[in-house]
Amino acid sequence: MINTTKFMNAALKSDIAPFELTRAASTTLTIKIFMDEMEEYNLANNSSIRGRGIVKGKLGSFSSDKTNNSVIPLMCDSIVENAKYGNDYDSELFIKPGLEYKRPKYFNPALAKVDPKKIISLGKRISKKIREKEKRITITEVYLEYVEDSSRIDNSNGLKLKDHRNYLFIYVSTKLDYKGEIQSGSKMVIIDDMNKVNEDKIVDDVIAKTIAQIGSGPVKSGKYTVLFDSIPASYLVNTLLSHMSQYEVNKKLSKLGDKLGERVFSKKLTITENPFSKNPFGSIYDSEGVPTTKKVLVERGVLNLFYSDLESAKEAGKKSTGNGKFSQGSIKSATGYCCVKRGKKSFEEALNYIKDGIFITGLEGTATGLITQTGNYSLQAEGFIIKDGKLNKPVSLITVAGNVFEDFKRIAILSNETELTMSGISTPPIAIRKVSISGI
Amino acid sequence: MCKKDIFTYFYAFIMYFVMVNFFQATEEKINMITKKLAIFVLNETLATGADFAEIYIQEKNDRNIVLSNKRVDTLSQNLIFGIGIRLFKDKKSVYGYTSDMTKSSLIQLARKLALSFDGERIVTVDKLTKVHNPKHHQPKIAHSEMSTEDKLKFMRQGEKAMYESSSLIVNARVGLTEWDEKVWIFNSKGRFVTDTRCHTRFVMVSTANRDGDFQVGFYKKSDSKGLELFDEFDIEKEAEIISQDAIEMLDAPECPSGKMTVIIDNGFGGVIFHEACGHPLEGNSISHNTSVFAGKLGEKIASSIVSAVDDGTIESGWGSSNFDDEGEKTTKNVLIKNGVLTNYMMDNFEGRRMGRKSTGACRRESYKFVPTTRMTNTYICNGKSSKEDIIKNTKYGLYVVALNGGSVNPTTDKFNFTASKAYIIKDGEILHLVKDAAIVGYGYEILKNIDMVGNNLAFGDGMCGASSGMIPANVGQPTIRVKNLTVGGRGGNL
Repeated sequence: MINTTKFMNAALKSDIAPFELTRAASTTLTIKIFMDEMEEYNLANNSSIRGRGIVKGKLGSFSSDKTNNSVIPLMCDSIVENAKYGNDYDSELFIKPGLEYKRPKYFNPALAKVDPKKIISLGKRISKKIREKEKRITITEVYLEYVEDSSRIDNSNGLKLKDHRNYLFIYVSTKLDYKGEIQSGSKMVIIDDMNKVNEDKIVDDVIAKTIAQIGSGPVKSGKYTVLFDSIPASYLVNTLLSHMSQYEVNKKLSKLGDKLGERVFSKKLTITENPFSKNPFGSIYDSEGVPTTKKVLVERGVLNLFYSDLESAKEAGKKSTGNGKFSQGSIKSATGYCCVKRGKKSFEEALNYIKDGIFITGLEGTATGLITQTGNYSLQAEGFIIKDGKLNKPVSLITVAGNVFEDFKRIAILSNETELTMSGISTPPIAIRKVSISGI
Repeated sequence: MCKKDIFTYFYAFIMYFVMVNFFQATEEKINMITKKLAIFVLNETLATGADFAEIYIQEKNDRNIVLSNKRVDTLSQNLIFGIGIRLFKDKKSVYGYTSDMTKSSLIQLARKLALSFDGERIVTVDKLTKVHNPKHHQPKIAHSEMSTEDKLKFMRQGEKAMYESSSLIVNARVGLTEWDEKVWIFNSKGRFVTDTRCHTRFVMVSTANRDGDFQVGFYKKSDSKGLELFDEFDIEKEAEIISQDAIEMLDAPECPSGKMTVIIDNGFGGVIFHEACGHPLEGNSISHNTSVFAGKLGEKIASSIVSAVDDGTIESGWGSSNFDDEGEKTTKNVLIKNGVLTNYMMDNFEGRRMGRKSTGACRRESYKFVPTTRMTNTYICNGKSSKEDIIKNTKYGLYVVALNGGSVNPTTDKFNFTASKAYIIKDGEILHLVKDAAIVGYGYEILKNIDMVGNNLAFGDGMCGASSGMIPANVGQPTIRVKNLTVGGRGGNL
């Protein structure tokens, strides 16, 4: 791995000041079980470095998978070259040590010691149990991925920060072939402790998801009260969050830019960012080394604050909220782990409250059919009809269309169970009135 | 099996660059470790009974320049550099990778991977023979031949044209991606393959805002070429067109919903075939029997007027290369002929399950991904109808001119895609623009419901995401008409 002192000396010689070096390393073990047998066993040692610095008042950066000292000259030359065309950057935006950081632990030593054979056995058991319990499921695949990440930031002001985390990701998928009808199901789980794996729940959940769609078809087109399950709801919430970025606000590209302090959503909606929560999306500092903070972004429908990185906060005359994230070559404002406040009623009570509508369990096409800039979405969906307060027939091949900014003003109810999704958002199912469904 | 495969050009904004003399330096280092160390490492991995071993080395320099918000928003450079080692034993695969290229690290990785098996050696590698590279798809103007300043000057022409087209344009984004890549592949069959790849991608996005309503227009041009790509389009003209698209979209009504006939224009419209049929014909889904097309070779799966091809050999095609990522030569592979399924796409590992040969379509984003069968340049072949006839013969329907992209579940073949520019057609005439249309269906049904195929084949480029990462892939088709598709929008029922 690159020697920090050598890099710092080389950077100074190249007139790069101040500067910052971020180092990341991870080891990953990925196992694929196909039909109860291990089919793939993959080991990975990842390492990368990123250098940023100011040359003649402008910012330049470089990143590399090559992490030994041989890359130092290339890194310095590239930072100097890129800074020629970079933007003016204030040297104060490279922070100094001495800030206060929380110390939650994201690394579980017990998980790191788990024998890979135990992980393989877990995958095989899940795979086998699924087909034993539900004979109509003909194919099962289980991916298990153990990830251990560490990162470190050093800068020329003397800042030194370290982070270390690990988790296990489990993804199960199935194929059902019943009387010529093909259906599939899947389930994702992220855990930080092997003792928290509830394999029977994983098995039951994926079976339920697979068989639920048997006999499904479209519904009549129209406006419905739609209850979005946690994962579909998280896609919509994520779009709302992207408009609370101070960077987007500064560039006048946010639809919420002039709404701070106003009630912009239903009173039922409260969204909090909590980076100290123990899950893979938490962190104690951001990509610029600024301490992260717990904050309420939306409180009872009122837009409470915009999250920011150092540069966008400065432009707005504010302090960074610790939301700087390095992505695609530059730092922008981004959220970490966020949670939507749950409601008071159980899922069944929520169905009863809705009486008639559609329960959406899956949304597809979000990469292209959910337009972040406008909030408009038109997406493939599947789920169930809600009739007389209960789940009725399964529905598929329908589309659901709306605008998140308008929709979240019409929240009917949120249930009281939340689920952590891959978007880094925990949310309960959320019901929205008068949503367009297209079917037959 | 249910991992979603997505195809979109929005990923284009992951962009990059090359250094002068970069590959000269790399060649020297690789030669220092090549054959001798490669043979040693291969034999270490084979010590416990694996019947095949492969080393993949990648060195890729990516540069990304983005103008946005009236400034150089991003100018980044990323060096991707590492090695992946893959072993097969019967139908089991073991893979490992590292970016630590020291001799001790490679040997350590090889030995660790070999521990996955516990048998006796059955294969020994004695020599490696370099396979001739035909050196297609090479740049005429290398990325290093133009200064950053001149590239920015060119890009600013587009930025200026977008802002000048209307005061409603609030952001003009221009992006340039440059990838320069070299791969080295050694395997226990004694093959040693090298390939040099150059990709250039140019994207413009124009954002219009009126009273808080945002709409975008976009343009992209990408190929396995160098900066000669700049001479192949009129940047100012394209900038004005997309700005006009964004402004017109501000006034467009929402798309109505329901079942309707859909005309999909040529070029990027081919994403419909990519999603509906391409992914389910990839080796991984076929060999695991998780595709609706598994076991259907020789059967009629599409309308008789549909023929389709995956062709990784198209000169300078966005998805082209001389060799795939396990060192097999790319091929032109006829998938469907006159509606009959004639072949799958296949890699060597999935081929073991199927008893079939590779079609040279094994691909990966980087050494960090296990390679698998992926599409290259996939398209529906020309038919006989003219585009004008197709429109004229449509009583009512949606005419999709541009698409954002889509996704598919290869197991069920349920797919979706989103139109970025679409018109309502009534009595053979183009009526008006509509916005936010989504189209869903079963791929196998759509193939059978194509009732007109145009004679104007064209290609469109995108980034395809699946288990082996995001890779450049071309889609293509002439204008086609599909009956009875489910269209979703907020414009009320038909």
